[in-house]
Amino acid sequence: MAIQPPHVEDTSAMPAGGINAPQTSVIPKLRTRDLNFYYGSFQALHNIGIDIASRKITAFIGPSGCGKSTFLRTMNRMNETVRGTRYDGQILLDGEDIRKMDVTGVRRRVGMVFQKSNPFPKTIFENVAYGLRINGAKKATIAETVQRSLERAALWTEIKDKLHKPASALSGGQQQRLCIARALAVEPEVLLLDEPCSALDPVATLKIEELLFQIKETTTIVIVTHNMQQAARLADHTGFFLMGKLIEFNDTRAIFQNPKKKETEDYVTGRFG
Amino acid sequence: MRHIEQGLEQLKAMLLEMGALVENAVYRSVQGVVEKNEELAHQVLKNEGRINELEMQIDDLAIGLLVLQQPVAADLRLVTAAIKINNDLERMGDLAVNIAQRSLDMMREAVIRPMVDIPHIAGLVQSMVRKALDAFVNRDADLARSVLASDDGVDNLRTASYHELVSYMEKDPSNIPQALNLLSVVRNLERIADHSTNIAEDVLFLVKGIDVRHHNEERLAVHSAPVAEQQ
Amino acid sequence: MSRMNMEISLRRRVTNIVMLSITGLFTLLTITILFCILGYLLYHGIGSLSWSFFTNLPKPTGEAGGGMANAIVGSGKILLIATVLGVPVGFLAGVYLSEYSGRTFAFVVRYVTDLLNGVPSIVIGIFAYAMVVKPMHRFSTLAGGIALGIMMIPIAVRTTEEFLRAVPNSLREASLALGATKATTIFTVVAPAAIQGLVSGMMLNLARVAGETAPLLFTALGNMFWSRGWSQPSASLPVMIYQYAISPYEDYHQQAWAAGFVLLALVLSINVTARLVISGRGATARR
Repeated sequence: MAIQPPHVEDTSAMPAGGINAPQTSVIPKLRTRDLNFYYGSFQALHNIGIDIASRKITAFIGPSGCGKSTFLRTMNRMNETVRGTRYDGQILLDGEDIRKMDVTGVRRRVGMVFQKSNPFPKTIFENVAYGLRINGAKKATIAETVQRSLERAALWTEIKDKLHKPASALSGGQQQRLCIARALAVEPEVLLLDEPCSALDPVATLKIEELLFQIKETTTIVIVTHNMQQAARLADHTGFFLMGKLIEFNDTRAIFQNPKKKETEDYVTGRFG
Repeated sequence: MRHIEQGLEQLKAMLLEMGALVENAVYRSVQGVVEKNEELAHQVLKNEGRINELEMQIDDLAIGLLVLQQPVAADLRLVTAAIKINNDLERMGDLAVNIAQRSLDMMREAVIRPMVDIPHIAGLVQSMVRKALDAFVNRDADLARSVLASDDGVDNLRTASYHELVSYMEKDPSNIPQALNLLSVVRNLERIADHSTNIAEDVLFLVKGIDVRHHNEERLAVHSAPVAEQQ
Repeated sequence: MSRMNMEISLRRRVTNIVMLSITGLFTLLTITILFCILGYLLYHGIGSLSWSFFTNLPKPTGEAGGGMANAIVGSGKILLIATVLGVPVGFLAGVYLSEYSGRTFAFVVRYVTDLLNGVPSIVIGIFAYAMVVKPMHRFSTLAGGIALGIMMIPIAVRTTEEFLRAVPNSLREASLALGATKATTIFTVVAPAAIQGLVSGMMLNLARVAGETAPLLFTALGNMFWSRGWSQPSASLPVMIYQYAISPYEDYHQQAWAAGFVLLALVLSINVTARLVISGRGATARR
């Protein structure tokens, strides 16, 4: 249970360097500095500074509209597809500013799974193969990679006999695991998940959580969830967002057992609002 | 395997280690008295540190499981039972230390009377401790009930001992210091038995989901409730 | 219940019955007109239909028999050119509107296409006459096809835009999140997801222009013989109907009825096929 305390830098709430936990052996995979995000004139994120540890699960919790999903979507530059948005500050992937990188390259390295499962209207096989094809994978390797990805997503045994059936024939939980397999196929270094279980029943949810524990061995995972129990079960580190600010970021147990900020305490105990 | 399972297994393993240490402490402390073995008494004092450390680790793990895994049903009963059993075991460890200290007090003195009752009580108490822990490990409700039944036997033996030691003190006031020490040993053993009873009750709660505390007249006959066996 | 309430209740019931009767009556009227046309066409047309109608060229006035093979083939060629021109232009413009353009620009373009759609077909014919027939110094299949193609564009644009917009944004995001470019996303995910709607929309569009007469009068003109290649005047079913119907000869009238019936059957079958594609039956496009 020994967890390195993560590094937080919420410059909006406190003097520079504020609640920096000592940074020891945690290697940050993704870091942001002074990140501000705007939808038109509305500022959705305020000075977010955070280090997301490599090969750990980091969860973000907070009430609806607190900016946690917006924050997630800045990390693969997905928000840029939304008209009228802009941001400033730095987002560093392995120390390199993702705004200076080719956007398709960023998104290949930082995969994403969405709230509502969104398989393409293609076969199961083609769904997983899609990312490989568009990234120019060799034909000979595709079938193998598809199988491996489906195995990693704990879906292979269930669907290996219906690979060429349409993905829409799968159950909701299977579709979401298919989307995870599809994301894993291009071997992203980071996997972002935006409330991936909100439409799933508890059994399907548990399967996805178990799956994330497996994936964590090779991939940095960042998950946004409005289910606090899920954050508690899954995450090594948890961040609490409120009104576009990162209020507190620490190892998960500290957030749920002994939060340092009153806002966090109120939220996790349900005394919010 | 569910993720919580790892934590629960670890919790059980640590409780077992704790149980073994306490059982050992009780045995050594009594042997220290009976055999006048200073070495054994010192071992008891030395091991207390480890027991206290383990108590804190178990609490930490159990609270961590409550915080992070939100256990329910059988899992929840296991964690809460573990917290309570942990507490009882630590107290038993302290009581064993008390006995060891009494034995060190009496180490140089000649015995004022034959040591018959104390080994007898100690044997009974140790079997209660062992049965309570076995009942926990094996989720054995019947074994747990047998621990509850033994408690009255220990109480009777303690009362008998008490009267005997009072009579020694009345006979010769110079017996009083040692008699008081022996009285203390008996009382500590009886309290260890009480904690074993608590553990047995927690095991019944864990296995059957029923609360048998504070209902002496009923607790020996609790098999009526239609509770599904949990495993 | 008080008297007042009873009165109100009665009035409401009467109003209800009256409204139902009026709307029902007019619905019936609409259907009746439609079936009259169909029945009339069927009644007159089917009698004159024969195998030779589909295989023979028109006979000179006064001679019995003869058919409209050249008009059927001509219509086919003109519609082919119209499709080749109208569908890609409309589709690509629709893609731009749905996927790339800003709101204001899309609004303007949409407005303009609606205007274009409202331009009388004869004006389109004149336009094609000025742009194609005049420079080439001849009426031609090509000119007719271009005129009808232009007529197809507005609907093709709107159809494409509507059906692409109907594709959930989550699919675009899924593709982009895998590192696909926007163009790849549009052509490998978005358009295939909308293919059913696109195909049926284009077919309905084709069915709509198949019966146009006015633009062809200025462009393909007409021809009593086979039209070779693409740059000769060409017969077409609608124009043929027009010419035969205004002639004073009874057997020409019969031929016109038959042609009308064939044209109707053609349009109807395209329509039904399009509906089938939309409902997903008989569609391989689904995958």
